[in-house]
Amino acid sequence: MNSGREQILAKLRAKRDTSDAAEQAARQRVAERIQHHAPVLIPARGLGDKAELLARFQQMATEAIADVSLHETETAALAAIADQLQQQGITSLVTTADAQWQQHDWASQGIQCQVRPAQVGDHASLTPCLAGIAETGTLMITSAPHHPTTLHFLPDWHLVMLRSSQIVGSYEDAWTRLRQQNQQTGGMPRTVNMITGASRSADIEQRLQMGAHGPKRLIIFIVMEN
Amino acid sequence: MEIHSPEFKANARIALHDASLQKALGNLRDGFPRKRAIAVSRLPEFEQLRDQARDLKNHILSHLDLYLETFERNCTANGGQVHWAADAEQARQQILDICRSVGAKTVTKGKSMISEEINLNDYLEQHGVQPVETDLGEYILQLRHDHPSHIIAPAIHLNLEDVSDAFHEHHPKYGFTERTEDAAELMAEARTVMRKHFVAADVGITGANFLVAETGSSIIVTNEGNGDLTQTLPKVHIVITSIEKVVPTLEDMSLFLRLLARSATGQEFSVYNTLSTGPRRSTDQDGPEQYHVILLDNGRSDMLGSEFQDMLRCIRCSACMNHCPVYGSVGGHAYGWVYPGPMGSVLTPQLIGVDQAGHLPNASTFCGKCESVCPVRIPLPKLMRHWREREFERHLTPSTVRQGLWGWAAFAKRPTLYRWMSRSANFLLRRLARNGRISKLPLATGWTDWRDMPAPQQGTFMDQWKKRQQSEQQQGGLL
Ligand code: SF4
Repeated sequence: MNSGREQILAKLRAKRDTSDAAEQAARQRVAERIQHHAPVLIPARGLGDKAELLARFQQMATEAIADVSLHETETAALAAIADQLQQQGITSLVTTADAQWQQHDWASQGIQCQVRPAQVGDHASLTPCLAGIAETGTLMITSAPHHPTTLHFLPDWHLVMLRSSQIVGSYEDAWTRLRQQNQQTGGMPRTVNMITGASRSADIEQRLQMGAHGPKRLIIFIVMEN
Repeated sequence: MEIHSPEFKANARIALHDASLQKALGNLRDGFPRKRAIAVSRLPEFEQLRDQARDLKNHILSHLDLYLETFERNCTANGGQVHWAADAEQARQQILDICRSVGAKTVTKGKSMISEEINLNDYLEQHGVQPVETDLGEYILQLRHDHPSHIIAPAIHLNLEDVSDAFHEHHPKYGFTERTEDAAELMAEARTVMRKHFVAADVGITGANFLVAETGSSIIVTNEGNGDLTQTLPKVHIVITSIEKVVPTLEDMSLFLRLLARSATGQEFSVYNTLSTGPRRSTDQDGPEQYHVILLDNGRSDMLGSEFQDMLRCIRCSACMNHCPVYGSVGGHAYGWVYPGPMGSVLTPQLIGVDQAGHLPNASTFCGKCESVCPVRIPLPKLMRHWREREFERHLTPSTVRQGLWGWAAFAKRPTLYRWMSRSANFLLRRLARNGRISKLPLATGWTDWRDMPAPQQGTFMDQWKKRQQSEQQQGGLL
């Protein structure tokens, strides 16, 4: 294992100037780039005021084949979720740990709500997210002790609760939020998912089919906050 | 994958006569270029992003060892294990060792061209580990004992009937006994079958589109979600990738992500862009217990500092092949190895040897379309020309070509004779033409069997040049 390492690094090093001064300058350039992690270029569509970004997020996520709806409060969003599940005859929901979600009266609409990682055969999951990125209608969702990643991939439907204050313009804005979260949690999570629309494949004759291996539907509930 | 590059000419001839392949290639020609053009037109900063991506890649390549060391340090700090593989053999061995250490019987695999490059599936199978491809296209190919013909749409050479046949042959054991030609039903079948594999696998192997030095993470970009299930459900996640994939920071990665999907499928963004950092945390409820990254060199360090260095900027988007008239006519298999199209014509001679693949760069009309769409501005025609020069120097060019060039040179060195000859040829060709096109030309049926030859303009180049010079002088005199 080590021999491969030394061999490769030696070959790479041989291709650049490694005199003392050049080496020091190169190391400094690398260290600075990493330390500053400055954005390279943020396209104009990643910028805008709150209302613009909300509208752009809705437009881009819808275009990417996600369902998006706006709700005044989280309670209202939960009620809408329960209605939608009931209409489709879905009787079980798997979620991340969230006190308010667990307190919601799912049972009266014939829905069993469970907090656990997803399993094969699950119909629907509900998760929070870290950010909604307006430039492409993308959700950023991170794994955590009570937030297993399988919830985003195994169920047929993935429902996501997004607060309007979590909507940002660009990927770079979302990385800033991730860095803030990392400071609180002590580092990078195992998984950061950036999800744009529902699962799909065009591998058969280049014709788009929805629901390849991940969720067949991605449903986003935006809770408006002042 | 076995090497069939030396047979390019024969392969191409067969491909041109293969009606079902030609039908399938029609889907590609109609699809990707149009979608890319729309996506590009919607992002005004696209050209500027391409410049910056080129410059950033150049910066990375001139500090490659330093960024790789930084990646290794941060990956290890987050609990990951980094393995360096100088060549394909080392990489295969490392992967097998990891599989054996956990007694793996089956491994699921996300789509990875590097895994094709090192011929991983055959190797694992020979050593008692069963690989299962999980990308829909790759899965279809595995059932058919076939190989990818495109780097992001691996089964582009197949039609619906081929998929129906493959599933009908292999899926009855899962309860699917009816043959269907409904694409949605076929995909639903694959979804059901694959879930059993996802859950049963001991190890999940994925590629990586980028490695982030700052965080020690790898990222995969997919639309299906198969890569995510591959890397989340088994005990062990192995990432097989190559050394040029490292980028400094998350912000730097964003630059490439903005270019990748738009250049590839014409999507604004791929559905799943997933960043993995280390194994599951002690308090996580799912995710792999081990996270390994294999960094493969396999000839790439030789390209650094050579005239082929620019090729190391490639982000494997496939735009060059999607826009290539040669690829669009013969498909990917004709190129005879893992990487087809213009990027393959440059990369393949480097990776498997100029003696095996030095003629691939001739499979180009030098129209320049590939370079014009490459998101990291790789001068692909120039690099193909370098290989041609090398091939010629090493006398690997076929004798007909050498004699032809020698004959041309004999005339070109004698201006009077050359002018007389070209005037006569010009006259004769115009006599042969109907409506400005020549549909049959002796000694050039290799061309005219497939398309008309345009008839020459009035007068040779030298005659026209002289006339132009004269008229410019006259105009200049009048001013
Ligand atoms: S050479 Fe350029 S266009 Fe071709 S796959 Fe690589 S990055 Fe894409």
